[in-house]
Amino acid sequence: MGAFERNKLQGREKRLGTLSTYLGTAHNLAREDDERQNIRTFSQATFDEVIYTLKSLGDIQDSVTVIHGPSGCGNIKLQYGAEGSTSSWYSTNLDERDTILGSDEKLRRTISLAYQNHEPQIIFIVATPVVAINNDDISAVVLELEEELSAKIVPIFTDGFKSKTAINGYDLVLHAIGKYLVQGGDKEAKSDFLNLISLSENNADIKEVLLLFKELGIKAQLIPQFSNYGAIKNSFQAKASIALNHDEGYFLGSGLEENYNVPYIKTKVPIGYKNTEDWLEIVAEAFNKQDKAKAIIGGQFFKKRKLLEEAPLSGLKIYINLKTSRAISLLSLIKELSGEIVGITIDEVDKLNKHELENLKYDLPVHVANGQLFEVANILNKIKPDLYIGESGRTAWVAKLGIVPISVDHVALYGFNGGENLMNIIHKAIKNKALINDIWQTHKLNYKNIWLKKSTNWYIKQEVK
Amino acid sequence: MSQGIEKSRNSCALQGAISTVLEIEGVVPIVHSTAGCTIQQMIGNKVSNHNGFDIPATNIIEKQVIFGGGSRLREQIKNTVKVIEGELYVVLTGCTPELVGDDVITMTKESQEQGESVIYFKAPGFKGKFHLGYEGVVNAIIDQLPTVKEVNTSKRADFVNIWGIIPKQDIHWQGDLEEIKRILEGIGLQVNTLFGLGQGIEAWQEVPAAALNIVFSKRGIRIAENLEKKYDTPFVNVQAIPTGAKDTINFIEKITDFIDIDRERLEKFIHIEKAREEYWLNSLLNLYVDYNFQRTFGIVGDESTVYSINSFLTKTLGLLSNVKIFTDPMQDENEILANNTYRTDTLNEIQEILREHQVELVLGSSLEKDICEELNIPWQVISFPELEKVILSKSYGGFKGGVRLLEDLSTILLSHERKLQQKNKVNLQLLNFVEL
Repeated sequence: MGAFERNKLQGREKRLGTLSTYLGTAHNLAREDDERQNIRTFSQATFDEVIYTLKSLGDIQDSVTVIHGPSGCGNIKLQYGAEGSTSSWYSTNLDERDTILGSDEKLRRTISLAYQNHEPQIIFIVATPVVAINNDDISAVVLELEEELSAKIVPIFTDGFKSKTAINGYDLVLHAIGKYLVQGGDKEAKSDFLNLISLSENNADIKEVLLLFKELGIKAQLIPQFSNYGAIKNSFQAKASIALNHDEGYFLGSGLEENYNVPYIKTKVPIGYKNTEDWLEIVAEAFNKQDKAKAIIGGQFFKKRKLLEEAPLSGLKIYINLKTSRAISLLSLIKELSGEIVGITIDEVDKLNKHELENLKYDLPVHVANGQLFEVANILNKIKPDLYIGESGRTAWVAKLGIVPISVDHVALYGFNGGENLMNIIHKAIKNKALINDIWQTHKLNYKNIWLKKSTNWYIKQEVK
Repeated sequence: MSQGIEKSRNSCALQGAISTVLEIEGVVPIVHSTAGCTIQQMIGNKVSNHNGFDIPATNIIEKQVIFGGGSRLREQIKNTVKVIEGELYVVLTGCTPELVGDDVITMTKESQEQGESVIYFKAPGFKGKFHLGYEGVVNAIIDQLPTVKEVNTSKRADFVNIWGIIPKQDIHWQGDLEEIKRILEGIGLQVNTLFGLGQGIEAWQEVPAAALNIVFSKRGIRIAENLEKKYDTPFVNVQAIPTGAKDTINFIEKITDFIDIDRERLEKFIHIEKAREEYWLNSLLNLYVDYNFQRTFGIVGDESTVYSINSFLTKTLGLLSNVKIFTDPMQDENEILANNTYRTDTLNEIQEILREHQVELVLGSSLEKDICEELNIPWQVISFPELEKVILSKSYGGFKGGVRLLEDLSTILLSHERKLQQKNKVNLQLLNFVEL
């Protein structure tokens, strides 16, 4: 059965052997049994698939999202709205009565309301734990309303507990998009454009990549971020697909390949000179633009040599806590800039990216955790790096350990300017540590000392089946 | 029956309870729910001592949904007290464990028997909104604190507690508490604000010692009633944070009905504060008249916030209130609202009401930006959510807050008016037949 045909998708663990809890080294990961799951007996708050789903739907034009659950389940949309996400959202606002008597009528009415107010082309329905537990029927409502409304209604069966990892949300979104929105006609009629699959990249990164495509003379069409119904529908006509982050976008890429013969080109995240050069060559080959790629790479030669000769990170110990493939590619950039990497924390590891870690020329400590800053604090307290590179919301706190925090959510790391962009903020952060030092002197993390001294994997156990 | 809502601004009880607890120093929430619940709220709290990822949470998975999550919770509580520094741990349960029926009470009791300071509050999002989370968890702490800590029940005649100002949902909560404290200390009282800067478990242990509980919104009433029953403490419901001199003086007078206050000191204090507002109002007069500050306005927000700002704008600044929209959940099913007063939290209804009422100015949240741009009228953020400006200790409450609001509102009216003039100039040039 093709990737898009299944009614519901299994959790990512079952499909890809995804691990969301691990402590060891990159090379030892090979010895981890895919079937074996680790769990934590103490854990901290983290992202879940509902949040990732909402994140990835926020910039699909002419769409509205209906979050089917109690009103708090969509609260993060306020924040995404503030950050520029354009699509509106509704909550079915389930109350106690609905949890007992069922919620399909409310879902029906909320979808109709959303349709009346916005007349969107697509209405996404995002399920939540409450409707999953009560087994409320979403599909029947969708079938019924699709007859009445001239909008595509796309249910996404997020439940928030079947998978331990938030990235499962991207798979669910891409499965639903593939199933409900991509509409194939003639499988062989291909046009000269590329599907550029993006779920979570920031605008700055996307811009860098689009500029490269422009230089190459390749027409790149973003999906699903920043796309619309037409673009998604016609994605089966593309000459090829690539995902900006294979971990996140593979499902759509391989689904389009499997169902519509659109070749899916697997690439590493283009961070760092080497990775960007490789990426450019692979992409160019698919469109017979090797000469142009060569010229672009050649044009970067002196800039690259200058930055590499400066070795601006030499003497600095660096810790990275980022999404998996982003972190792995960043390793290469840090090496190019002569930094020393003392360890990484990544969100999850699975069949899609494990080999990247195992194939690293050097071994390094690897911690797999989405959030779980208590473990990260334990690690940092022991190895005391100079710099910590992480994501928004989970980076600033390292100042309390006297480590310089570098948040890269709003920085363009992709492409040939990534090195300069990164060094631009690192230089400033190192040059004036006034605030960071004051915070270090005056504020303390609220972890007990006894914990910080324990072994980091103290609360990691093998799951009993 | 509740309805579907567009762009809800009221979140849920769990997220209200988490946000409330986090603003008490030394209190650690332990969230028992599915993984994303805590982060949904926390990611938006950019100004906070917590980033969300530092909050203990069970992140329950399918196995615990099917077989129950009680033992996962037991393990989490046991380990939280070993990892996280805290004086009081509050277990907060979300929708999933409440549907599954996890026995949080027994789990809490077990850890109390081990000598740990752990209490609980059930906060499933389907039971209510952010406000309920505040009210509920505050009452849970009041009810359960004595089982794990000593509380001081010997009353002090000059000591008062503040209730009904909800951390985060009242966007100026921190600044409001500071100003209320300053005012009450100014007339010789000791004030327990209970949340924010310098407020920890010690403050909560002193709650029974207060001579009076002062309630600033409907969300404080059940708390004050609870304290009246438990500790015989009387309460006064002032309904809203007073904004500006007139309401603040009324507020002070109301307090004197309950507590003996040195009259001379009080009058001296009021005199100085009132003179300040008078001074600034006079300074603003030219702008007020020349730029026609008198507008009809619509106001959107939690009921108490609407009352306080509406009162100042009409009674002091001479503006004309056309419509009031309360966005917090109704507490009384049989509520009868006055003319031109509505209660709704769904965006398109709010926009529709504002369109119908011919307003020239809107005071509301950042979500009202779109409608104000559509109507081409100025707007000022006074209620949740504020998505554009960073708020640390700003307040529109009390004597100082009134002046602050004058400042902000004048800026907005002035710049709107100037933009309009510039636009008119451009239009004029288009209409003018003179050859350039």
